[in-house]
Amino acid sequence: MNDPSPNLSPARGSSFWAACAGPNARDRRNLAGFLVAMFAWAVCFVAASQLLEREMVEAGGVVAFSLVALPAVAGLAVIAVYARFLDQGDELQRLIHYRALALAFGVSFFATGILRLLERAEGPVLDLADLALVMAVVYTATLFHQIWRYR
Amino acid sequence: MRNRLKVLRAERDWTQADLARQLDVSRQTVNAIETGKYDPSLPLAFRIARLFGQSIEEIFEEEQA
Repeated sequence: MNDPSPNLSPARGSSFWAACAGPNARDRRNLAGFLVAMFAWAVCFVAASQLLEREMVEAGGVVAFSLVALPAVAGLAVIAVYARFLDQGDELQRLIHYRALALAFGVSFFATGILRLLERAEGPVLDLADLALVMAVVYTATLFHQIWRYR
Repeated sequence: MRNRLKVLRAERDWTQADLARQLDVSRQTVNAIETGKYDPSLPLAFRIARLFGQSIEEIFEEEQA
């Protein structure tokens, strides 16, 4: 019997986490980095949003624009970390994430047109935040479907 | 694309996780290749061939239309 090389790092943790992240410590570290960056963006966004909404900073001032810049920079960091996760990740995981991204983008793109038509037909009026929600839901649903498919 | 990955793995009494570790891919990737749901990239195909000491053509076979 030929045993596999013992010095290769074994896959640890739950199978679901392995299915989401990938086979090795580098993939898990990259995904954890993405989740931390995403959390940091959410904190920046909510904090900036609350401070501006409650008029705790002078509108149009340097501080107000700095508050807008904060989640923008955090968002760029999220994108960079996610791109690194995709670049260095397991190739099947990359395919799964690309599919989820493509489907989320496609659905959101065509939903934009449908929303414009709905407005003209005097149907329900939705805004860009709803489209972002559609994108997030489609991305997450596709991700889970693909993980289940290749389980 | 058909492949002999499952047979080669079974001959060595390896689990999918064992093979995945040696190829530095996820177990899901090995499973998807074995079941024909996913065709590996060229670098991964070379790693598989090198691991089993065979050529890519001996492991992977294009399905006739």
